[in-house]
Amino acid sequence: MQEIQIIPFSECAVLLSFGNTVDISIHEKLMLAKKVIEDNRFIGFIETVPAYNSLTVFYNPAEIKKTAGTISSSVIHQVKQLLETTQQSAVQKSSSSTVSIPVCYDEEYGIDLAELSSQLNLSTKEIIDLHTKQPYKVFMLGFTPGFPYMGILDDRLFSKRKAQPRISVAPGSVAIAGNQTGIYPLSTPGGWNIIGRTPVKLFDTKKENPFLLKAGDSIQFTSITKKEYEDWLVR
Amino acid sequence: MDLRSVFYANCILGNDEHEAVLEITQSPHRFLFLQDTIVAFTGGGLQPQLKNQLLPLYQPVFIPADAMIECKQQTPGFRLYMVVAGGFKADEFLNSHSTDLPVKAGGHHGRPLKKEDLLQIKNHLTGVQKNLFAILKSGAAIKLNIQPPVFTTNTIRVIHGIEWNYLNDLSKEIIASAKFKVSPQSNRMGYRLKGEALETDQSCEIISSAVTQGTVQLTASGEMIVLMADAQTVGGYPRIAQVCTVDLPVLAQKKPGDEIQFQFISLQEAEELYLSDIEQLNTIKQTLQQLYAG
Repeated sequence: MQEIQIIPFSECAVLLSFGNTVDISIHEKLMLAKKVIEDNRFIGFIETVPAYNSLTVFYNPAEIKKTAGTISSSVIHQVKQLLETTQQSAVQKSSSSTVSIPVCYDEEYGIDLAELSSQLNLSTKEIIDLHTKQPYKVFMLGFTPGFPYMGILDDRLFSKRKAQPRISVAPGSVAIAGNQTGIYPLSTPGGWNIIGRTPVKLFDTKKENPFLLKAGDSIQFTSITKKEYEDWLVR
Repeated sequence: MDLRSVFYANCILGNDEHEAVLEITQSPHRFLFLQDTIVAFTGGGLQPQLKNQLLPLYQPVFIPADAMIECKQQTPGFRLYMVVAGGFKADEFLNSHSTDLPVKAGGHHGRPLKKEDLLQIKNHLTGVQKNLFAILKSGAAIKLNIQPPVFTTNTIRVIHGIEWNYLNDLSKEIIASAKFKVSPQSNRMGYRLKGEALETDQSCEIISSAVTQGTVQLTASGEMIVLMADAQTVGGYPRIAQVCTVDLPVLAQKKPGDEIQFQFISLQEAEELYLSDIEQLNTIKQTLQQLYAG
């Protein structure tokens, strides 16, 4: 595996960088590296955090055998060697599925639709049509438990994050930022532009697997009315 | 938040170091004990007392049944920890007893404690704890010679973050020399810092990537957020610095309005601090174990 840059993240982690773009093939390469590292755990390894184009590897510095100037460079060396010597073909991809997610794009829930409409020079209807016209890939979960980072959005929907994040957003809020789209599962701070709300629970602590989605899944948004949204909630 | 104080508290009572503890902040609190118990307090922010008698921190303390402990008098720091011999019984979620407030899971029904909640002790006392219990109940004093960890310093040591070079030269100087205030809009997920705004040479956004406790993010408004114990796992703001693990407990003891100043050190120094801190904590644990065993 070439073209991977490994740099220190903290005294307890290193970051594997796979370039500077959001791209499905880059993400697949990264998920392979994740699997190689997790299948061949080094002593002191704790966990990995996959993202769009980076994989961060956390470790316990007290357990790392120092083979270079710093603990960090020893880990970097070890990970590099592991990735170079492992045959990519020997690694199997894991399965994924397509999930349909209903969204009410009413302005009561899509609280940033009006502002986006003037910023992007699109009507509200055009924004909704562009958002629902194609399936998206779940690149990763993060931010809060169950928050899916999905893409890739149509270029016309590219928007900036809010300069001042909201202190609290409503659970189920569907939002966009950059060329990404996501859903806030919980009431948390949030800096993305909110365009609608889903009645579906993305994270449920009462379930054995609390997560509705996982990295690698495909999802399809469908537009529902306010009445359908409310009916869904009392179901 | 302040894991060092939690570690001390559990070691002082001969508990497993991962037993659940109570993190107590701000407003006055009162705890009625229904049975004879040994407790330990660590951290800061509040002074526990039994009637008019101030209770010592960093010592095992015997509390008789029907006694009421009050924590109201403010002291330096922000988070007081209370632990009982045997540990508190708490809900487990994702391999932890911690309370996750946004998710409403773990701890005591996933929420802060409220009036009339009943807490239970998890484990039977070990042989060592029974000895300690007998000695303290008889009225004999045990005075541990423990140097409490220092958290009154304003200096927080950091290393350069992954996107350190996003900052322009002037902002690089400002972050290393200016003082920043912990904003009232801070919580267990992150501390917002108020101070001179920082600027970048490029867009103040990255393709979302890993963050962790101690990651210093720069928002588009030029304000910093230091992620704390309930931090998310990924974020889209530039990671301009990373707080050294050894100084996370110091930061956890800061409250809104407190000032901090960053001191940049090398990765190698951060590693050395980390290792010597672990060594120091292990020494304390072993010393206490030997003391109680002997």
